[in-house]
Amino acid sequence: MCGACGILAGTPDWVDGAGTRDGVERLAERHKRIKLVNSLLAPAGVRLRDFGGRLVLQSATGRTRIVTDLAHVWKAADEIGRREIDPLEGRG
Amino acid sequence: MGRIPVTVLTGFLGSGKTTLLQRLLNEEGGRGAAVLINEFGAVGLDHLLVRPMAMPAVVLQNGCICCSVRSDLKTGLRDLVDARDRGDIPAFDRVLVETTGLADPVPIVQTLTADAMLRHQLLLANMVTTIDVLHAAGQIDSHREALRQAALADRLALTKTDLASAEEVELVRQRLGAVNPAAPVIDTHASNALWHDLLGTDASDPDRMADEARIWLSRVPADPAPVFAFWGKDASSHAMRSFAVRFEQKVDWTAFAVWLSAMVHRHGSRLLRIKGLLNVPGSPGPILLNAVQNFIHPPQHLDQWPDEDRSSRLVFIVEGLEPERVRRSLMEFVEAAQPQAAQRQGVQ
Repeated sequence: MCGACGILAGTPDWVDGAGTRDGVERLAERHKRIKLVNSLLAPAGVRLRDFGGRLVLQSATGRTRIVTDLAHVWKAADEIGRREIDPLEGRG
Repeated sequence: MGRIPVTVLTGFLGSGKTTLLQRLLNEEGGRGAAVLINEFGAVGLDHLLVRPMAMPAVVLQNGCICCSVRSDLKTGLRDLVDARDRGDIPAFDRVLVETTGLADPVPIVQTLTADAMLRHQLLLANMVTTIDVLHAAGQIDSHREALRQAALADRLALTKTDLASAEEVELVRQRLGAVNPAAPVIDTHASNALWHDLLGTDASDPDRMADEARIWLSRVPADPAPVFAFWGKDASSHAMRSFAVRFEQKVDWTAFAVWLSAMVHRHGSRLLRIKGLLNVPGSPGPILLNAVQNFIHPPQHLDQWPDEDRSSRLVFIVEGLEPERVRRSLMEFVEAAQPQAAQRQGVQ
């Protein structure tokens, strides 16, 4: 597991940042992160959704992947999206 | 028992790694050090990982524990820890890994950080790169390995300075300042306390992060404009550049982390180093970031700022990436995450 696994995986990791958060703040952070992630996924036609704690990637053609952490999100998005994710290529 | 710090000693062929190692081991701090050496002069450790030729650890006369890494760095490190646990060798308080001159240090870093057992027992403390001042310019220009070794270093150790003029040494210092602005440069010939100067403050020791940040910042120009250094014959895919990014406003940690994770996914092999401090909302001190390619040290909250400047400052060393694109991408992403901007742009 690389250092990119964080709050989406429910593990304390670098994406969580240093320090502690309570449950409400963690949840808010999670939602905020999903929005930010989706802004990078948009050019690939992929969207991340939170289904009761389960994170699902869905492409424009209906392909889906259950993902566990941020690193997994990018990898799965490359697999089902219409193009590879690249933060240098601009966002949707 | 705390994790034992590991120092990776690297440097181009003939740059004085073994001489430096011997000096370090003869100092007080080196008495309790275990040493792993890749004895194959022309072959990088990463190429040897498949060869099942582990050597037993032996105790040398000077008290150091020396083990030749003939097969697998991971196995060598594990054997070292196991031998200590069994009482076969004395306890040690530091591991020094000397690489070959042509080694890419990154696989070594990955070996140390990817293995759960090693992560639990050992801490990647820092990477020291020896620089032969007589040949540094030519090696850095001509050999990608030499350039990567210098770019990835936490400490740059100048060797053979007694054989060069002051002007030559200064030119090398300037060159290294462009290649790796965040790494302190130590003249090993002039140093009377080499262990202290090179290893006294480990780059990744959580208890010494504030000191480390102070060292970095002393080398990052105060000019708010990004500083770009370019070298390499052309803007080819292997051209390396170092540059600084500065944010005057607070940086949203979540946005930064998401952007960084995507960058690591897509361009991890091209992000040689990222070091810096981030001023994040709700925190009295900065968050300190230290990354080597796709390995990111756990971020640390510092209790207070190491200097008066409260802006976020990041130093990037990249290979084959356009600094301006990286800078613009990061700044736009962080800006879009600001509450007003997110509302305005409807970030989804």
